[in-house]
Amino acid sequence: MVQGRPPPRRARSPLVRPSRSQAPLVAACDSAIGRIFRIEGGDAALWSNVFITYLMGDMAFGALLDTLDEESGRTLEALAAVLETVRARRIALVP
Amino acid sequence: MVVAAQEGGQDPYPTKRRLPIQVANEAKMIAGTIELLYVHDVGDITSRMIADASGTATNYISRYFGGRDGLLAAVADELGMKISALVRGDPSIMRFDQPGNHLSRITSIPEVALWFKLYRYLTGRNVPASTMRSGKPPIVRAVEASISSIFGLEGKYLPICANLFLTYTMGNEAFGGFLGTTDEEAEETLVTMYQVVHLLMDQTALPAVD
Repeated sequence: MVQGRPPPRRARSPLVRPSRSQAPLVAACDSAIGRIFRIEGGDAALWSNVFITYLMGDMAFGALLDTLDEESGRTLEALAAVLETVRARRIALVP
Repeated sequence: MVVAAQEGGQDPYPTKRRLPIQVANEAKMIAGTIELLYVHDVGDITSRMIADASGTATNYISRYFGGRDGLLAAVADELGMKISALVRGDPSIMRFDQPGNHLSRITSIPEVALWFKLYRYLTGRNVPASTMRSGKPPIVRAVEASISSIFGLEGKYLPICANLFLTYTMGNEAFGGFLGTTDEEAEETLVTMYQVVHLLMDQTALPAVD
């Protein structure tokens, strides 16, 4: 390691993106989640990350984790229901 | 040491009658492969290396496991049980203030890194969980048991929470770099999932899940 250079954060997969700009897929997902659930800013980015990482994780590892399509569907429904609940509570607190 | 043979003294694969010598050879081959995984990439481990490390023969792999993928699936199964036993055997892992700390403790277990390495390889080989001889992967059962004991969550939402935590963690491990997810964002998301579990416990706020 070159002296003075900070250590690497952690090992990543070979799919690490070379640029630090936002991936078009992530931008599209942020926008879609924002419009579907009527949230914006940091909330949209956070929930978009939850959904897209879950979906990609399920596509890659679902078979190995023995996740049925029905089970992943229920998980996504539960996530959507929780998001709606969180949003409704915020609206109630800050109308 | 093979954990599967220890837990409760029960045969983990009771539907299949096997000779004691076969059970012993399988255990040696699984243990030998785990030792090799500490120092080699999965793709670099050959049948000859497994046979040498376990003191068996190369043709035992196809005879006992139906091939190399079958052996690796059995190793993944064994690692899952080992991780489960390690987590249950260390009460300090179960005491935590933040869900991120709990996950950090679990992911710092060396066997978890081996397990991820193996699963990434098996995913590329398109090997499904049905290859595992003990059914639902032990890591899934371990995460369900862990969430149940930590949050006191039972019933229909328990598999959902376990599936969410596990799939997100593995998805982030594999694709976090590609998606540009920072460690801070992943941590924030895990804290959000902690809140998700609490909201799921308040079942009346949600539509019924059959």
